[in-house]
Amino acid sequence: MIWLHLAIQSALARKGALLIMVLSTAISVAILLGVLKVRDDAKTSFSNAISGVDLVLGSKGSPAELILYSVFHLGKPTNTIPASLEKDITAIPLVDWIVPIQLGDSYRNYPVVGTSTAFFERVRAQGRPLVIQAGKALTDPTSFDVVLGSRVAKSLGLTLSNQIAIAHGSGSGPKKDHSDSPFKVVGILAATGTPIDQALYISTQAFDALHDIQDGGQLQFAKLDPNSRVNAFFIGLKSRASIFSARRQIDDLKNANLMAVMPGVALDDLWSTMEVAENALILIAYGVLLTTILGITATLLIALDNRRRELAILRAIGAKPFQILFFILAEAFLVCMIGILAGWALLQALIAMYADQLRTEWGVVSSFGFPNTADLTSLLIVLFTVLLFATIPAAKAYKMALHDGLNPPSP
Amino acid sequence: MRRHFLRRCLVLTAGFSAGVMHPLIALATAYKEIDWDELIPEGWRKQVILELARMRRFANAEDGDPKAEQAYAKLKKTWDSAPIVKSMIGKKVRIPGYVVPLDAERMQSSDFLIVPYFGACVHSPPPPANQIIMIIPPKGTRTRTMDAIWVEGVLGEQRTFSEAGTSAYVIKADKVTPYR
Repeated sequence: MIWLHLAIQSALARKGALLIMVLSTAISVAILLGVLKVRDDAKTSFSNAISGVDLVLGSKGSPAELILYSVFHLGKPTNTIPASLEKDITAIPLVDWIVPIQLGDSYRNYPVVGTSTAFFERVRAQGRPLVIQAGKALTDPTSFDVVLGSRVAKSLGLTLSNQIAIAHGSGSGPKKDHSDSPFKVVGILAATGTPIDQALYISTQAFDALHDIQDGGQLQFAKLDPNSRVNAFFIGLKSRASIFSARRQIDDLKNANLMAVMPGVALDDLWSTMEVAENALILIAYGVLLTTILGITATLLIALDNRRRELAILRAIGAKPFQILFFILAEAFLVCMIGILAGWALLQALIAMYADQLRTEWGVVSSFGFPNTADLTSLLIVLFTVLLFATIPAAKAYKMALHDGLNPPSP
Repeated sequence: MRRHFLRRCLVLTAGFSAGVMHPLIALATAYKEIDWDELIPEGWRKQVILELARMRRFANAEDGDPKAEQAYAKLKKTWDSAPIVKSMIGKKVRIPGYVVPLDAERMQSSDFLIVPYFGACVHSPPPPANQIIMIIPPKGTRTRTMDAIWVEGVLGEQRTFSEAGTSAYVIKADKVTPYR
């Protein structure tokens, strides 16, 4: 191991240049791993948002769009369907449960979801049922109660029995803020790492009341609104094998404006459209990586001229030419290894720092993690390629060591 | 759309009668390779062929033709209440199919359906109930919509809670492999 030791000592003597090499390797590795990770995390965060829901019912249009706004609260809900459909759908014997979803209002940029009490029993996140961390779920549909997603409660500093005023419309900016119509926080959901964390939940009746209110008027429950409309229904079936029969029976309701979407299919569709962007990202990451590999090789090659004396001395004290070759390769290996480790550490640090932003701004849940098989494979490719490229300067050093002997030309 | 559906039905019938949907090489395993046709009871097949033959006269009907609508509704009912072949239940089988995912959630392997032809259920009308198999995959299985796969496992029966009180096929899969 004397050669490894020598390589380290030699490297330390030239630490300035090598540090920059390590740094550039680290940054490229961080970018590569980051892209791979974001892709993975985005995918799981995306697909974890909703489970146990067999069909999402909405107004006819793009299935992907319906899933995007009803589940992920992304984009703007456009069309609505009559809430009275709930009765017709419950009447279909295949249907086990149905949960309405109303959207379009917000509280300080967080979407407000109008739903039924069943939402908290039926909808699951990451395959697990929703857990109420404090307080209770919505129980009384005719009260101005609100249940908060964990993220909402945390970032707005809200606790149980706080009164809040929910505004009509979405997005920030000045708007009618019905300060005279406070909702009371009755429950806070435990964190799920899904868009469920980032919404407020009120009953559909409260939601309708919010919409019926006139300027300066008092918020109050009208008689059950027969014209109430919802953006979507989540539907669960008694037997999942009968999903197509159920879909057909929904079609048979003769409401031409309806569309029943299977969330799994819509999500796969969504991902296949994103694949292009995904691949472009990976291409860029590998481009950056190739640049780094070439950079390392170039630096090694240039440094070689300055190292002729060093190598000549090594020859003089008994180093064989192939040991010189190994010597150069060892350096490349070390730079690369340290670069990879540093790159990984850099990425973890970045994730730790920006995980919250990633989640709130982009809906991507990212966390500390060791590289998975795919990551390790790409890192091995990197290491191998660097060693392969490093044979160019190493072979040159080998030849030089043979030619120069103890009398290298003065640089 | 309707006409397209009828055409599809006719194509499907041709497939049924010819019985050449999957001319595949059987592998020497404990799992008996089966054809989707074997999952259709003979009596029901004849009934459907008759029904479809009767529908042929609607091939050029206008959209919204009440008689065509009626026939279509009847056919859908027949499709949904398609019976299963009881004698196949409990057999160790190996069958190819296209994946239709049920869940959005993909952390662990989640249940999905397989169907005999590409695009079924997603873009075009679904096949009859006895041409859909629910798959409970082993852990770690990752599939996507319309992946072509082989499934190995014991064919089971599952009640569907439909009006007709029919059953459906289910396989608790021992193995799910890509179709090659």
